[in-house]
Amino acid sequence: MNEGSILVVDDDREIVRSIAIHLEKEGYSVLCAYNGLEALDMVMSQPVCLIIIDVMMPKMDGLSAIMKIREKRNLPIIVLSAKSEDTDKILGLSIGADDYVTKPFNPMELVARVRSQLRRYTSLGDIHAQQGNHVIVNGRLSYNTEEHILTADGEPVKLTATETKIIDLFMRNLGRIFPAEEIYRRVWNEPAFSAENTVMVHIRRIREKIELNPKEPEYLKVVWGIGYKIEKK
Amino acid sequence: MDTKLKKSKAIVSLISFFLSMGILIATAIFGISFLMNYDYAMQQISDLKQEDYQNTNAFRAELSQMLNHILHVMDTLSSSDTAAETELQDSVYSDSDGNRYYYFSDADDPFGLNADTARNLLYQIGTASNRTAYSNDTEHENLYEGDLPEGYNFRLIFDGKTVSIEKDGVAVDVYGDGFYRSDSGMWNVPGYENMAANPDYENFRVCLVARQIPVEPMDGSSALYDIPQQGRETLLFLRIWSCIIAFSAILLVLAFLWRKERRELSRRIAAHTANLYFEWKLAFAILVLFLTTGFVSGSIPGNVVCFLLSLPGYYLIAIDLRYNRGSWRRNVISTMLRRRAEYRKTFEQKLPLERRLLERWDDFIKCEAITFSVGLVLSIFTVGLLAPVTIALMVYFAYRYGKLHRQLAQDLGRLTTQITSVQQGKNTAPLLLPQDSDLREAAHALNDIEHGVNTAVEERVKSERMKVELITNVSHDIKTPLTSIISYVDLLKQEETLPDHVKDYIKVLDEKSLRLKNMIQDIFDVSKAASGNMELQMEPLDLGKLVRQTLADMDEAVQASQLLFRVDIPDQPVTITADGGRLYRVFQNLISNALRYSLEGTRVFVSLTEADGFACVALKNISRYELDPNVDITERFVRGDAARTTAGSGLGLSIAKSFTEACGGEFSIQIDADLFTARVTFPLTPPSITLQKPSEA
Repeated sequence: MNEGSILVVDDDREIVRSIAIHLEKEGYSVLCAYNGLEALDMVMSQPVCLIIIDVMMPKMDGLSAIMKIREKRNLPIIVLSAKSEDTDKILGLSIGADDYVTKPFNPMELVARVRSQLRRYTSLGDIHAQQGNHVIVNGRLSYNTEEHILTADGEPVKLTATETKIIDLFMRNLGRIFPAEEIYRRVWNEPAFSAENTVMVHIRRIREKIELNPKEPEYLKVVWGIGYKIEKK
Repeated sequence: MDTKLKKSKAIVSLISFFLSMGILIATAIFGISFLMNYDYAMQQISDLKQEDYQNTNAFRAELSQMLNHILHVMDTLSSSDTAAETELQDSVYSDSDGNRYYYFSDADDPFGLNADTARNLLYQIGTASNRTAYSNDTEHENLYEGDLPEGYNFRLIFDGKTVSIEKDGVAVDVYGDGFYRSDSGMWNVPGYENMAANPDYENFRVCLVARQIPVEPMDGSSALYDIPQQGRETLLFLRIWSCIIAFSAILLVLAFLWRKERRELSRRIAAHTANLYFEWKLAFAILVLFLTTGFVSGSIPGNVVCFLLSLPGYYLIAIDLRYNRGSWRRNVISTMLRRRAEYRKTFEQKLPLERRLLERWDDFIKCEAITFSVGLVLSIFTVGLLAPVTIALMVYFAYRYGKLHRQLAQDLGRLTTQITSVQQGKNTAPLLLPQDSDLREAAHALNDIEHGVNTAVEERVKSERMKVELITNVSHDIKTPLTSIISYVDLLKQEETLPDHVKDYIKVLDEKSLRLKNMIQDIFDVSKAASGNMELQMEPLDLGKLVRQTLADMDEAVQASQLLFRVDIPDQPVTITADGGRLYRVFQNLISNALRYSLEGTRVFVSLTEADGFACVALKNISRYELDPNVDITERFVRGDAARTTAGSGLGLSIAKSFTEACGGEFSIQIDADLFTARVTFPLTPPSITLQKPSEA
């Protein structure tokens, strides 16, 4: 499926093993390392296409290892950490990680994220090629305004007509917050009635289609007390 | 040795200073008197230069005055013979210049000229008929005409109207332009146009002959001999005086050279006088003034002595004024008052504050009363002389009491300000009141309290932070094994060959591990919020919309429940300022709580009301379990059901409360039998802060 293996690094061997099993079930080949130094060696000696790395490890911690790896190789890195604070996430992402997953995580979500990262990594050229006046790219998402097609990680997302209208509104106005009444008015072309519930139902459905973890959405977000938006990445 | 030398230098300098200053002052007085009698003094000075005594002003004055006297005596003798003799005795009279002369006349020597035994002056006095009626010269018949005897070269003749003078055989110009001016050194004799001879004298004839060089009389006195003699004495005096001035100049130089030592000495003396009461100094100054003005002694040498004695007095006054500034404050009355104040202070210090203040008021009243009564009596006796002193004292007491009171008021103000700021928990510098302040002890105690409070707060913050750290670490440590559990349970779930009952077990494991995961996150959140370490993104938002969004978000669970939701939220925005994400958690927890613990088939009421600048969201439901109103169910891990069988983490209300409070709102729970009411209250944000408006595309 891919050239190269996924390197899983954690000092807890059971966690490494479970992740490996989950990934191998999906057909990926997996390399295992148990501290930062080993991970560095592996990256240098083996063909690695993606790294899943823990932050707190002996010998060399994850963040130092990421910095070292980033000096040599450009490949997707997913950070695993027990630290769930926003500041920890921001630190990890600013150092050069592509994604941040907090422990304890849902294995299926991790697998989904790996898939997403690999798709974007390998199909990066395609996305750039697609880029024209009528394509809006935002992180994992790209939207063709002519054809009204939304793709996530390069995969087209199947949306209903209403959902497409909502996505059209959001993707054309990235980062802008829309109150439910406005969404209702512009999508349904009717005066708002019980807008909040109706809009929320659709938002939830769209999330399940585009978000890796619909319970903790990264793109389609509620701005509590104000409205809804798609986060600008 | 060195100090001795220094001391002697200082003393020498001091004495030199006195002497030279005395001499200079005397010279100055002499100079002033010289200037006041300028013409006379100038005549005397011109006399000093004359070799020939007959050319001096003094000689002219002497002879003029002698002639006038003779004429006066002649007039007296001729008018009445018997009376004249007695009248002539000790005749005293003044000439036209106001000078007083004394002639001791008697019958034998009516003109008082015979004392001149050396006969420096020869005279022949008489009338027109008998020109030589009186004479002291028996050898010569007639001096009026012809050559003068041997050794005599000066002749003055009065012919009844005018005077003619002949010197060395040459006539002298007596009258000049014929007008007499008193200050010109002219001959003061009758015959001027403005000073004509007395017509009574017309018959009198006088001839006076003077010796060229006067001879000292053996026994007796000669006015003529005295003239050059006096000139020589004056010259000698002037020479001596100039020597003295030169000497004083040297002394002045000495005094100047050793001025440092002198000043040192002055300072030491001043240090001694500093302790004297002002009254003594005043008395001393008055005494010195008396000395100088010569009230003590009538004679001139006595005055000089007094003057010299008064000099050190002035010196003492001067150095006291110079080195002891404000020495007037050290007077008997102020010393008495100060002693009394010190005594009162030591007395007051032993009393508690309230007694001290009362005591002070009593003392003030007593002082005023005593001063008034004593002052009144004394004023009556002294005819009001002491009234100003009495009033001044009374004003002083009032001023002093007022000053104490004002100080107290200021200190009290500072103390209360400090108490307020301590009460508000502001971190202020310790209050330091002056040493003598009445409230010093209170301020000290307050500082101790503040210190204690600060320490306690610091300790609490520290322990709270440690608690958060502990919980963070513990939750990290739990998360790692939990990750494995969740991962492997997930793998188990994917096994399809397992028997059904094992799949049931796995389902339980799955649920409980997820619950554990949520609990850990909740514990972490609540401890952060409670310790104030939570990061907040405060922004204006519509509370009504937020509640509607939360309900919409949880719509599935709401629909699935057996409960009916009655929602009453106004359509218009209700703007508050809060962290929307956190507030969502609050309402999420409240709604899940209602879903979980409400009696089936009952209604849940959600309402939003605005009143008095506050927005209040109330959530009411009927509890399925009987609630104990004495238990604060917002406490961590406290749950409505004591058995803890339901699925909650026990942290829902705790999180709701701590998040609400972290956002600046108020959270309250009310239990009325089975009616459970949760209220979230926020202050309304003023309309000027507009809601974050979505920008138009």
